[in-house]
Amino acid sequence: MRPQVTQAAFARWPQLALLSVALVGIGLAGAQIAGTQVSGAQVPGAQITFGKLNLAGKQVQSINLYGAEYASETTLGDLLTIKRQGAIVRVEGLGHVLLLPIDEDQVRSTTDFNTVQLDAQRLKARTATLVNGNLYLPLDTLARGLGASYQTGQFTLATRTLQTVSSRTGKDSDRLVLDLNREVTVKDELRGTVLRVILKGTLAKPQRYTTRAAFIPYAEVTQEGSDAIVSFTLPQNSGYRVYPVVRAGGTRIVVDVGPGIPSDIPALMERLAKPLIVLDPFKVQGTGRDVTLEVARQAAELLTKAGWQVKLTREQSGELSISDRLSLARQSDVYLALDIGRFPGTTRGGVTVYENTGSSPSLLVNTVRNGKVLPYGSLVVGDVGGTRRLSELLRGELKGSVTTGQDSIAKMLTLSETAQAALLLELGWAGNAQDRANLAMQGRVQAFSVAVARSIATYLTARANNSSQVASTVITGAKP
Amino acid sequence: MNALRRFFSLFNILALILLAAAAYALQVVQRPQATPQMPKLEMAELHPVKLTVYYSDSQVQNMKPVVRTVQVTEESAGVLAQAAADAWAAGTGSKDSDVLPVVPKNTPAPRIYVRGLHYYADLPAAYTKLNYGSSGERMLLCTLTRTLLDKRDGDVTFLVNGQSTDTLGHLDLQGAYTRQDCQN
Repeated sequence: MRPQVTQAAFARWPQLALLSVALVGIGLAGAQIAGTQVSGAQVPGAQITFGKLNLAGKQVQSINLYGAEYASETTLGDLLTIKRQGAIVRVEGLGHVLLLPIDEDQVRSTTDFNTVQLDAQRLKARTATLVNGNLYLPLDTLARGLGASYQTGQFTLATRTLQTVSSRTGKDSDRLVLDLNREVTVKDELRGTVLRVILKGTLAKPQRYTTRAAFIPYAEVTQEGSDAIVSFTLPQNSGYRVYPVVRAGGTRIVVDVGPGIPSDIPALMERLAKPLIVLDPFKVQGTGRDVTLEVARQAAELLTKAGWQVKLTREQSGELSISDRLSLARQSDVYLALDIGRFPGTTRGGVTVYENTGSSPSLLVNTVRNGKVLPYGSLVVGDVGGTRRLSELLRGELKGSVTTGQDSIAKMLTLSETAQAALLLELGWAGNAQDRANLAMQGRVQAFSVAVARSIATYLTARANNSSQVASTVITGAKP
Repeated sequence: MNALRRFFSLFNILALILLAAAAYALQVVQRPQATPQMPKLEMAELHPVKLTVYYSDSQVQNMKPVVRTVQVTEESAGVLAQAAADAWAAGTGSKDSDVLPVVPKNTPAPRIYVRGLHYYADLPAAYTKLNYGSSGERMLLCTLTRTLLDKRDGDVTFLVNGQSTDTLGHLDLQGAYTRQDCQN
């Protein structure tokens, strides 16, 4: 019987083979249709389908390779620095370094056959592979190594957060340690004596941290828009340095402060913290009351109480020599001359603010004002914009009490020597009866003094804040 | 005869001639010098010239040009400049109430020297006692500068009483003034 069965089977063989081929063909056709419906495209000859990926908020293309989602080197290049080093691909970014072997066997690369290195940790995970000669990287492995969250079609970076602030005391320097969950761009600014460490695009809980450190007794964390600011007072004669330390699971920003740190802060920056204000009340004879001196003294008193450094060129007891006045003018950050208009026969009255114009006797001042850009040049020589801003502030402050005119004056002996903002304030005219009556009133003198003090303080505060732009920037991890 | 011949020897004759020449020379050098004659006085003819002289407006803000006619003997730069400075110090010569003289009446005019394109205005000491404010002092110096430089480019250096000085009170006199320093 056995040979008969065998013969019968052999007789049916062509039919069975035909049936098998048909089933395989139907299966392939079904898979083709399914693939087309899901992704709309397919790479022929492999289990690859194209898909859409939201990569840190940006829509890009990914591929699905044997069930695992991959993105190309080009696609990821906007976010990470990817370098091929022989059979290994090195991925740097977000404060992490990943080493992934390139497995040319696409099926095997999607398994945990390979060992990858995520920062200092080695583990079995999907690895990079080549598709049509192009490098592709597995998104789940990247997310794991970069501390990002991932689900199919969605690769999300964690919100940059300042997690902890800690400190360590040292003999001649203290250390402030800022721990963040991921890379950050750090900028440091010295505003007067306050050092501000700006963590770009970072969330932080506003809080004041008190330390036991001698050089950084406290640090203030604030949120300004999308940036977190860590600020503290820089002690005298202290230097500072800000640098990042990349570690697994986040980034650490270290700030060292103290006399033990060499100070590379330009001496010019210290001028911002302690600017010199010079008030020059001109001696006006034959007008009775010494109004220019009264206004200067009262304004100086207000400014000194607020912590500003003010010098007067004249006191009741006497006045400085012309060479001393010129010397003060050259050192000044704000120079304000006070005068009363005098001219025979004129009926002119009113208050006028004159802005210093024209060339300076100093070659350096002229060179910088004519457009030569020097390092820290703006701290050495102020442009005409500074004088204009101070003039606008002063006229704004006077607006409520008097009508103030604006003019410019060149070749003034003292004003032309100045390198920074310089104005002449004409408080009125001696030949005008209304002006004389106004200047005799204590209220008017008080109004002038307050306006002078407030405008100068506002101008210098803004100047200190704007000049901190010259500070440095540290970028950690992220591509610029 | 022999004695006469000895007396009129050649030597004696020559000595006599020399003596006579010396006596004449002595007489010539002792003669008083001739009194020089007065040169014949030739009166230079004055003729009128129109010059633009700058003054102040009533608000001491803008310079006001006024065309003045002055009498000059010649039209050299120095003579014209001095005539303009004299007219500048003497008053406006205008009835326009918006034009103010820049110095009080009877204030002496500055002495003007010209060297090429450089003018030197020597202000009398009275100018240091004018007690002008800063804007008034600027008007004083700039109207004179513009008056002197009205027709020629150049610069004006101010002296006080023949000496270089830093300032009259407020403005810088260490450097020369140009038209650009004195725009309205």
